[in-house]
Amino acid sequence: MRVLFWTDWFVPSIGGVEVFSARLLPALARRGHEIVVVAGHHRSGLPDATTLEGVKILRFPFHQVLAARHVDRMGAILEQIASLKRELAPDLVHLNTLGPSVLYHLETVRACEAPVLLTMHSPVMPDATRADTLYGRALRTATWVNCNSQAVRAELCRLLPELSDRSSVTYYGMEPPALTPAPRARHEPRVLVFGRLVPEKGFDIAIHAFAVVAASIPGARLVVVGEGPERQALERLAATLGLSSIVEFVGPVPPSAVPRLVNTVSVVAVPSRWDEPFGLVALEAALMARPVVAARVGGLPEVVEDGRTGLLVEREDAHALAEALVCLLRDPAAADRMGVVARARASALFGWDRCVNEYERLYERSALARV
Amino acid sequence: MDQLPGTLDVNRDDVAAKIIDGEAIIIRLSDGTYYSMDHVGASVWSLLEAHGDRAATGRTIAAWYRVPPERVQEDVDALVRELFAEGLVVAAPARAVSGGGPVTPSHVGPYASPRLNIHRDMGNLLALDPPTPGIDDLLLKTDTDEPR
Repeated sequence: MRVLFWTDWFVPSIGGVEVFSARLLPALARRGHEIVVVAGHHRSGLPDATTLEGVKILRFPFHQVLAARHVDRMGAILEQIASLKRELAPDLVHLNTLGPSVLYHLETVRACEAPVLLTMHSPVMPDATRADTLYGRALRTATWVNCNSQAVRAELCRLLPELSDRSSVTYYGMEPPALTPAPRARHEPRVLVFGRLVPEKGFDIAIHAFAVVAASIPGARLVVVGEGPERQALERLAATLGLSSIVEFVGPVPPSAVPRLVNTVSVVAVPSRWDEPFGLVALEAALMARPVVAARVGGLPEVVEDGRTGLLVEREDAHALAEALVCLLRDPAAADRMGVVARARASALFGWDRCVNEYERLYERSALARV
Repeated sequence: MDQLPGTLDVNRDDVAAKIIDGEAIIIRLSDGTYYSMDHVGASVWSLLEAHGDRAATGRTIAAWYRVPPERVQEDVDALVRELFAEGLVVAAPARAVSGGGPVTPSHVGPYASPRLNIHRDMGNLLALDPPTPGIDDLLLKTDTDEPR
């Protein structure tokens, strides 16, 4: 099958969706599918054309031209895209993100009338119901909409009931790391939060919670991994709370180093304040047999089973987060058991081969469908 | 607007527009609202831009698409009313055809009532949280990097 994979952002920018896509597409290419990625030029200095393990990647300055409101340059890009679509004649267009670049797709649909699969990796925005938005237009005109959790699909169907019979859920998948899970440290335990340092991730809530944790568990440390615009504010918060010596800011780590990182901690926290659509971090922790304390938001309760693979707490509740962390750190045997169950459950429900198989079937089903 | 003016012009101070592959792309520059119109709408836009005569636009479209003029004029007026409301066209004195040579249809296919697609959410979409950039040592391996 020939697939035009459309995305606003792609590696080397790092986000859960980007890393997942960069693993999925080569896997599909190895199964004989021809994948061409059309992506935004989100960083300067990237080549216009490159390949990633057999997948061709073409980048266009979508966002820059839209932000500059430059109609002539936009016209030139639209002509390039229309020409690309005609030449490639894909069996399927897969919209992997619903960002600004979707305008270029929608305005070139006449060049290629292939069915459109739209994947929702993020919480559904209220604009979905409006007739005068790109966001709503893309959803209404998609042949099939795929969501990364039941929570995202439920919200989608609540806002747009007409999508109930042309939408589905495909969970992310991840290969169990080659690294064997290390025993969890009993003394001076480390708690990990990692991801982009943005307000939505709620790392400030974890720092507030750690003021309580540190008072209860001598030697406990909070390890913050990732980069982003909130870093300075988070460092200031830790200093203000007198926690600079026990909150460690590591900076970013490559995706391949995550298992090794998780192996060094006792518990992973996912204190997101937004409706985290899935929670890849929770899955990465589970695969390394770590219990997770997560906010009860979005799709996280589908990844973290409360009381069996971790503990769920209410959104924005630093006190509840602290209590849950203390509970696990004080009862290492229970935390160990949760980690073991988490790893087994993650392997069974969120396996990599299952994910690639499901995407392949999704592509086949979408390519045959018509709105 | 109850009474549509007989002649109009594109609001050139606040609008950038282009016809691409038979479709009109229009940007309201003051707030970044994006609009698009399919082939009939794009033809209407081209005629309004060229001479601005609303009645003549209806007659020309009717001839190009071989559709009864009454029906077309209703559609043109409805579209013009919307373009007005969006501030994309303004009342203007009668004028000679501008530009070089006569206007030709942008694309003549089956007639369909012109539709103005409005995209008011571009600002929201551009503000979406992007992934973390600039982490060069995290680059995933690529096979080749062709020169730009």
